[in-house]
Amino acid sequence: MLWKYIAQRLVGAIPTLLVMIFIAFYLVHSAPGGPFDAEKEISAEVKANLDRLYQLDQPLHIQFLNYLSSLIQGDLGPSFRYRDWSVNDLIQTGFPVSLKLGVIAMSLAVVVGCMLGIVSALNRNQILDDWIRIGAVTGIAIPGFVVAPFLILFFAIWLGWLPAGGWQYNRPSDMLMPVATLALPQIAYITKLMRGSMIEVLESSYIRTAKAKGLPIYLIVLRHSIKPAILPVISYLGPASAAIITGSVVIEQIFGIPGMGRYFVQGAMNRDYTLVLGVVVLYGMLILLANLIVDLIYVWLDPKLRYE
Amino acid sequence: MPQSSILQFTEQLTTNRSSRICLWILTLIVLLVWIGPQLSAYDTSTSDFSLILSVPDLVNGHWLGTDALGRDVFSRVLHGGRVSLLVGCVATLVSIAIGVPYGAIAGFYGGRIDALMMRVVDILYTMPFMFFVILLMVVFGRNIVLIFVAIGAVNWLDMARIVRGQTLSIKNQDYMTAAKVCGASQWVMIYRHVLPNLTGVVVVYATLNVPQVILIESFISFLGLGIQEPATSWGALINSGMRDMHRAPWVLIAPAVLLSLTVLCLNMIGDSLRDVLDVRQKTV
Repeated sequence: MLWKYIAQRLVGAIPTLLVMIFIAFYLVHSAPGGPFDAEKEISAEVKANLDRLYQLDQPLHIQFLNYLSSLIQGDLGPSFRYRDWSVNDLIQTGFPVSLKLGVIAMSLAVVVGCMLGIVSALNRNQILDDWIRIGAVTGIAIPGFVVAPFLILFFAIWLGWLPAGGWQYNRPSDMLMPVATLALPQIAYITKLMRGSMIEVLESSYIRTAKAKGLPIYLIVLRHSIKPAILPVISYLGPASAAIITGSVVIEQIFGIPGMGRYFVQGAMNRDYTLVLGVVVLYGMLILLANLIVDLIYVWLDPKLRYE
Repeated sequence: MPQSSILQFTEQLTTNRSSRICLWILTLIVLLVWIGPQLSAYDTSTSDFSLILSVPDLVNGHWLGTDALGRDVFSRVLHGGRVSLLVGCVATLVSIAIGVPYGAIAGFYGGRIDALMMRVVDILYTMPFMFFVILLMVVFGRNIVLIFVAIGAVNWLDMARIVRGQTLSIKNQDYMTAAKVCGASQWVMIYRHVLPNLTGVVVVYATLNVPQVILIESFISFLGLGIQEPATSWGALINSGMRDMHRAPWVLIAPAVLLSLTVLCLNMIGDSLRDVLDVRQKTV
């Protein structure tokens, strides 16, 4: 039953994926100027040879089909700018770094966000709740590229406690600021969601029953409230992972982290067709996968859906 | 919206303290951005190499100091604000222009047309759209008009979904049945009954859309992939401010504070508009 659902979803994702690759491919290839436009002009012969080598002399739809067929075999092609590197190589060096950053930020966001949301809901309309709500609204509004420079200014330049950037030997001090910046807006959003749904759950009649039979509040929260209240948070995790992936691009740039986002930005600046295309395709697949996982968790948590 | 409900609604909006403060701050920012550059003695691009990264000073007229090229931060921040606010508004208009008709048609006709149109939206919804905007910038060069269109063109999906939901619920109202019984044509029904009743939702989500767009534009400009010199926007200014922040934090602080305040206030106003117009309950 579950396997059938997963298979259905995977098959359903194929058209989406194809559309995405198609749009990205045609956008990248309709760019004026080619990847070999350097400041120094190359002779027409050399250019023709290069074009033949990278199959740029073929009609576009043939190039697209070639790209698809090599993609199915897991080959994203050679990088146009980084000599002797394939896009696969670049992604293999950058991806683990980005993944680590993203997973830590996401976990932090869920744990802290849910806790703050519960605390806020339990202290509804009291001073603590007001402060958490103000914090959440502010956290949603202030983007990572504003938070990050200020963190660097305070903790690296003025106080000198943390390194301003870089990524060496997995030092935890290198990760602290990037992870915090990446997680902050998500913490804020999850807090807001969790507070809203927790308040709703706490007003329901079975919670009143639990209160009436004298169950202490922490048991009411742990046993009866978290599971129903967390559902909106779970369904937000799909968009959240997309937001973290997008956010990591700018965070990696600011903190000088050698992840995939930096390759993307550099590729975009250098017109490195295959690299940009490869990263977009991979990001798209990741977002689709994240949505699938989130839906599975949702089905697993919500018994109403499980039996359908 | 009839006259009385507009009055009622502005009254409710201004009795909410936090949204009233936000409305004031936002008005102030818009006024500053609009007429502020005329107040300053300096323009955005004149460099004064004797005053590089000078401290904010009320006497010499550089009220917010100067940047690494000796340019006046005050007028640069306000000019950048013009671009940011303009991008926010124009791109939102683009997304309304696409999203409202799209959602209204899908919701009004329903059935197979609806299913197909919404399937397209669903597919586009899972796209890594920020990357598409960046791709568009890379491919077609970095001019302002394109930024407007690119962001608007990828940002209409929310609007389409919300409008469709609202149209579905309007369709089942008694006055729609009455209009049908009276023999109103489809266009009259859409034009006279559906569109006016969509105003509330569209206003709310347009308000919430503006800060989103401002953030997208500054994100791209921050990466150096958006707006190009001599034009500038808050995102680009934050990026250049970050480079000199260890020597001259005011170059960073000015655009960062203005951007954050604008986005914060627009979000707050949008949220309270939603509460006042009670939109969420209708869109189920």
